[in-house]
Amino acid sequence: MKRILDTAAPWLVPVAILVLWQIGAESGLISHRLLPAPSDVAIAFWTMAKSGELWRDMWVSTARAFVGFAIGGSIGFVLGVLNGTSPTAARLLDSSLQMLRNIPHLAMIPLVILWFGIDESAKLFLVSVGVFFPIYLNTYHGVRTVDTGLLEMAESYGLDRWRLFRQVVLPGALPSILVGFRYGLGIMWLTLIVAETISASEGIGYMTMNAREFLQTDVVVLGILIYALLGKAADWAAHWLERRCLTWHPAFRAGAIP
Amino acid sequence: MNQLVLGHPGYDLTERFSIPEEPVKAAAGVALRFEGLAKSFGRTAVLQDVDFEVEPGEFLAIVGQSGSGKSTLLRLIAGLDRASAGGIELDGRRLQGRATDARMMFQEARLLPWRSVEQNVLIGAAPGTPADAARAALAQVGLAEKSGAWPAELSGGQRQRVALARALISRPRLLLLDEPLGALDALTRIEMQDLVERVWRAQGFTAVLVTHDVGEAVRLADRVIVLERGRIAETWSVDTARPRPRVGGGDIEAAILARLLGREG
Repeated sequence: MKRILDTAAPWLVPVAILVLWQIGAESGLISHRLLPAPSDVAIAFWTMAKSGELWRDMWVSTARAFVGFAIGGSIGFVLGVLNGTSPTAARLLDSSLQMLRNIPHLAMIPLVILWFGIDESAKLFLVSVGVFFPIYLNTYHGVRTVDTGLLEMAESYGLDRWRLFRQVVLPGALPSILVGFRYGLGIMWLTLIVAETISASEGIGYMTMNAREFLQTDVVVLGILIYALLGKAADWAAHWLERRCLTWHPAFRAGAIP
Repeated sequence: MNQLVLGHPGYDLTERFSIPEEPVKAAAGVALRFEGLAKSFGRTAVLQDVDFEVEPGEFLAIVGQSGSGKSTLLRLIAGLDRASAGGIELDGRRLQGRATDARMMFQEARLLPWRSVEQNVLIGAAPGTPADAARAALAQVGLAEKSGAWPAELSGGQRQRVALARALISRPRLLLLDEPLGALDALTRIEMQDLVERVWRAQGFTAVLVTHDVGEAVRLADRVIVLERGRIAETWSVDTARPRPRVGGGDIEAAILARLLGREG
């Protein structure tokens, strides 16, 4: 009995809020126009899922997010490795990149619209730029802080450049790279939400903005919940990846972190 | 008390570590020659006028206070640093770049934490060497059952034994030891000294040990060099028959200690 109570305890507050919300909406205390009842959101989910509209929009948004992430992330990774391993490259590029980093990428939206118009490439560009910096910074930092004792050992054992990179530098930098990866995923969704609300003809952002026009608050709330869910899913994926890639790391051993 | 230790044959390591008793090959070790070797960092001269010869298969120990240049000398032999003047000859050939015949053990084990013990040992071998070779090398240091473990799961002594296996897997002709036992506890250290001596006798490589422990130097080495301010101050030959007593290096240890301590004051 006590065990059931223990597992149920964290859910008590959210469930209570849902119940109060439902009661409030049904009794007219909360205006339907401002906040739909939870049951209405559930119904909106059901109808949109059945029509297939929801899945299409989710797919479009997810694809946008990950294509942008792949572009920005790989450029950030390559530059991070390059600057981390070559002092010449770092001297040439790092300070410029650090300057650019201080520009909030969302502040570039007006310029981006001028450059790319309001189509797909504008959204991909924004996501790429947003994802680039956390991945670049953490890769660079990770590569630079690889244990010099290990590098010297590898040198004295005559590892060639490729083996040195593959077996020493990359795994040594991996914990830091994965931190950048996780940050990047967060920024990826945030950027996409903003970019999609500006203008889009499909995707979750379009779905919510369109629903706003027709005062369909249930769909708006549904869109917000879906964003939250997609963000959480990405975070789970990053966490799973960390545990998989860092099995050697004492901090990521099973049971070390919930 | 001393007599008792001397009379004791010591426990036989072959029971604990399965070291193949092979005949020592005459050509297994490399001959080393230092000629007017000098190294300075900026204006600070760390090593000066080092002239010395090491026989193939000899066990040489280098002792000295911190800053006497003993680790620098070892790094020069390994080719990790370049000499400012003079040079090193290995088997009569001038050393250029990295010494490919040499393997080095560091103060810390320097194992890759993201590779299993077995994979770490394979770092010391040519690419494509089968895992069996790594397991054989691990058996040599008594760690066969740990081949699948992560380095983080091992004790300090076990990690240094893995590092030794990594150094030995390629059958080096020259083993450089940069205080590899300095951080171990007293008992583990004695075990490791026994192990190093046994593999050295079995494989016949030339060994150069840098240590701050005079007792360890006298116990393991054929000759002991005392470095002072970058120069060879004294050279001692240790003729005690092996296996040697684990403690009490006798007059030589006392004399070297007196020299080192005398300079300090």
